[in-house]
Amino acid sequence: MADAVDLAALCQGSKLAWDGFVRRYAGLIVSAVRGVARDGTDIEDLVQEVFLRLCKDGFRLMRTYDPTRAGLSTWLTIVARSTARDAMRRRQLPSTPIDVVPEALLSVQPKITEKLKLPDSILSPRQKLVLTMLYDRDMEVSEVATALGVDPQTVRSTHHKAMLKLRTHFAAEDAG
Amino acid sequence: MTGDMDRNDAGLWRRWRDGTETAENAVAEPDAMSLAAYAENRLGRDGIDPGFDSEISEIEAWLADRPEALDDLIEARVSADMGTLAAPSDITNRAMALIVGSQSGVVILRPRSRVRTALAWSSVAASLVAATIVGFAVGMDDWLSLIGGSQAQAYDQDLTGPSTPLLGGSEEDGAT
Repeated sequence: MADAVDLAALCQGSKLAWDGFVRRYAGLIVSAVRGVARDGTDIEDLVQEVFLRLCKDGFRLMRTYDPTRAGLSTWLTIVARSTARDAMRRRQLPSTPIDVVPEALLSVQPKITEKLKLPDSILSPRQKLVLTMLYDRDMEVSEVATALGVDPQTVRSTHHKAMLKLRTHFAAEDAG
Repeated sequence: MTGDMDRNDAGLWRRWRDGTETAENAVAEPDAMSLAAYAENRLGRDGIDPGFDSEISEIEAWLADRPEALDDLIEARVSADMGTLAAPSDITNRAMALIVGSQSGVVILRPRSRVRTALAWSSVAASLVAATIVGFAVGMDDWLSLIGGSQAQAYDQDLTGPSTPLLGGSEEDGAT
């Protein structure tokens, strides 16, 4: 089985190219979907959702793939996980009629929080991302480095600069 | 979180995260192609710090608020090195069935049965006979009407022979 898939022929609706594409990448899509699926979820249905999304509307999504920007495996993994997540979200949407819900539960109490007069731009998007991964997701520096494709020292440097900004700001605020 | 990071840093981060006002303009979800390019470190321009690249910054700002998308990113980075994975045949067969068509450009010729051949030729012969009979009858009618009524009668007698009385003799019998 050849690794190369004729994407041009596939997008033209070639049955031969489509079958080759399925045989080549079905395993990858199954693996990607398994990482998203919860217990009891039908993996086969989710995988079929992914393939359906790829080929529907004359392969509209498939035509957006640009091999000069990223590898097909990388792109397919992202598409597969996103599609599987959307499919599960659609299946689990609650459909409780509003008339059934007691009125007391519908009321929303105002949540009073002390908002910092802090411009959101005090941290760069990368700094915010690194701190999110380190503290909210409890990831190791090496894991963050792998996820972002940078050196671990870069992660530490980004973290250090971000904390300097926060310490400076909060020190000034607490003193004032 | 590694030990070389101050535990107070986690507190500062959460204080900033929880107190920061929500941005009025939410970051738009990047398309799968951009996320895949980011996962492979193929975004950004040479010589420019990734932290200051606008496209990278937008993606990282979006990722920071979506932990599930971070998982997609990590999985996508790993998928590039996976190689070809096997998938259950029922999954691949179901996916391949989404596209129907000829397997290739070759038309497969099947040998016809003798009975079918005989029936086919018989129907052709019968059609020829029927067409001949109908054509002769129609042609005769047209010709007879063309030459006139009396002549038509004479011609008709000529074809069928003179009428012979049942009880009378012929002229030849009277001449002795």
